[in-house]
Amino acid sequence: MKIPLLTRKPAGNVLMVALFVMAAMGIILASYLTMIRGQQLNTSRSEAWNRSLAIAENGIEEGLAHLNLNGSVSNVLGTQGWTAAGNKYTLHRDFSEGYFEASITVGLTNAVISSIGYVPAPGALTSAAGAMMAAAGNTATKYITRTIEVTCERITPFSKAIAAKDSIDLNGKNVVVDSYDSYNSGSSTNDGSGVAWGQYNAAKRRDNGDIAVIAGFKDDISISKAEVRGHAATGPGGSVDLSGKGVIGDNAWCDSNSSKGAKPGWTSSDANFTLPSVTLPFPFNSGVNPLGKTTIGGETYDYVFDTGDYAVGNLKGNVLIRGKARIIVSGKIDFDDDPKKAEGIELDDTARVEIYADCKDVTMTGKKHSKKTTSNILGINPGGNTTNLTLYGTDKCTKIELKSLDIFAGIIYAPNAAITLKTGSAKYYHANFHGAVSGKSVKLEKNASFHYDENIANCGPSTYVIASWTEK
Amino acid sequence: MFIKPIRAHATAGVTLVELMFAIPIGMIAMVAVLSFASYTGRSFAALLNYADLEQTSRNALDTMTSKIRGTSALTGFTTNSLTFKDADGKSLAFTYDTAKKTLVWTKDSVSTTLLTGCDQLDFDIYQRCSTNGTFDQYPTSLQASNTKVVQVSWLCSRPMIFSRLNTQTAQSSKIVLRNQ
Repeated sequence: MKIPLLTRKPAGNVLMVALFVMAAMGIILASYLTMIRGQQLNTSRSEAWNRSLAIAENGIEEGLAHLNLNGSVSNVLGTQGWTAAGNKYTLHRDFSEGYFEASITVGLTNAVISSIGYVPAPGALTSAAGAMMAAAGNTATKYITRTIEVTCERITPFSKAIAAKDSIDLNGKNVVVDSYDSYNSGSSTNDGSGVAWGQYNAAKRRDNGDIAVIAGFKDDISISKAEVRGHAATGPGGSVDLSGKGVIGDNAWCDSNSSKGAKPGWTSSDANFTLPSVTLPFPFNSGVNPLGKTTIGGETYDYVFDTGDYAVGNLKGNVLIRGKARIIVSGKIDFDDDPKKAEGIELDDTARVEIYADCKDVTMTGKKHSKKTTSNILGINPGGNTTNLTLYGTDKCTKIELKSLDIFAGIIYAPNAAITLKTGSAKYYHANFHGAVSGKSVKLEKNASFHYDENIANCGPSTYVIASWTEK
Repeated sequence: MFIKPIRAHATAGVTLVELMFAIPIGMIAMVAVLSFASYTGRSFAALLNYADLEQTSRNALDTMTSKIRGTSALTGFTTNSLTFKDADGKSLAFTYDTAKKTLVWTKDSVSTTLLTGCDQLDFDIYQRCSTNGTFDQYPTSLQASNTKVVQVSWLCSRPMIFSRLNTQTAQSSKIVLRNQ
């Protein structure tokens, strides 16, 4: 018997299903990976974009530091890695995450710093000539770049009439703060004595007598009865006491609102500045002693300082400054206010003095100046250039008093000292302060007038600060 | 004698016992596959949403920081809008529309939508001085002219397919006005 057998046909159903499922899962997986890669690239690119700004600002920071360190003499800017090309100076600096290319262009009154930050674009290592050349090392990296340009202006520490760490007290009657510019005939008057600078003239006064306090407490600034032709600013949380008939504002406001408080927008509570401690000058070539008793023009002076650096114990008596002198005082500055003794400091018109009070107390009084056309007044540098007399107080200096004088023309910077302009009897003294003052606290007694010389802001040590910031 | 050949399938069959095992196993397998597919689908949708939210928020924040940094001053403020004086002197505004749930920036009468699906957005402003012992700044008492720092915080969401739950992302950033 022959029984035929049927062979079973091969079936591929399971294989097809498995292939279909695997294909579907593969598509899903590929989609996942593509999406994740897209997100990662997006995130990385954004991070690189933001990082390039930080690197560009690195270039701005370095440019600003270089400008402030070496910018006072323009021809030394081509140092410390900076390359000079005319009035433009460039620097390239590498970092592990990229590099910047910065440039400084120095103008007459300002400087422009430009910086480009470069950060490798994520996943963008490309070949200049295909994969083979890339393998041979001929590669080019694409970068994400951002460009910043800032304009820098010079400022001096004396950009305000009165600046204090803790408080300003202008509570007395008839206290006035205003401003003038001794090198602008429109806001000062030359006295005809042959000097280049002008004198304060109330008819030409301006309203830049700004006062400011760093601290932020109630009534940091007390001007209850004073007239401030300028802005008043305290630190955050601080306030200005205007409980009396005080007035703050511009000339027009003060002239027409003599007892109506502050002009809107002329007071604020966001003062943000520092008054750094004074360091003694270095190098300082001391060793020369001032001349002792010397008679000049019929007047006998206890000390005469010519051009040079002096370190003295006490500064007192009848003092004449004839040259460009720097004087460090370690003992005491104390001038007797008895008019008969004629003690005080007198400056020649061409003299310039920086006094460093490295001592606790300073008392300065006015004296009659025999060599001045203004000899009938008691003063310290009366009629003189305010930038020719600067009194610095180190942290040891905690008290400065000016008293018995008609005029003080100069600058006082003593961030740890309580500074008082004592007026005495209005019958004898006028108590006019021309210049600028910075201290821990500043007090003007009644009848005192403070005239800020705006020219001070153009002189003395200056630093560059950023005035405008632009991303290109 | 002719014997009809026996065909394999003709004799194939399943017993009741076999069916009792096969049906539950098949159902379990089907449920597993469907659950996996559903879970995968929802996860994928959520990931897409998060990716979209992340990308949109990042682009919005990058745009805002870039624009706000270069402005000259803040001239108008509410918790829903900021108006700046731009470096070119023109007005630049960022406005949050609570009804449309969008954040729009406008300059030269041209409006561009930065965010959609924005459930919450707040602007805060601060002055330049830092508070003692922290990295925070003093608030300006809602005074735009004193503003140095702007803080923006938002919460955005997207609806999920097959779910009433939303995917959400939150952003918060402080931006410094460089020209102030």
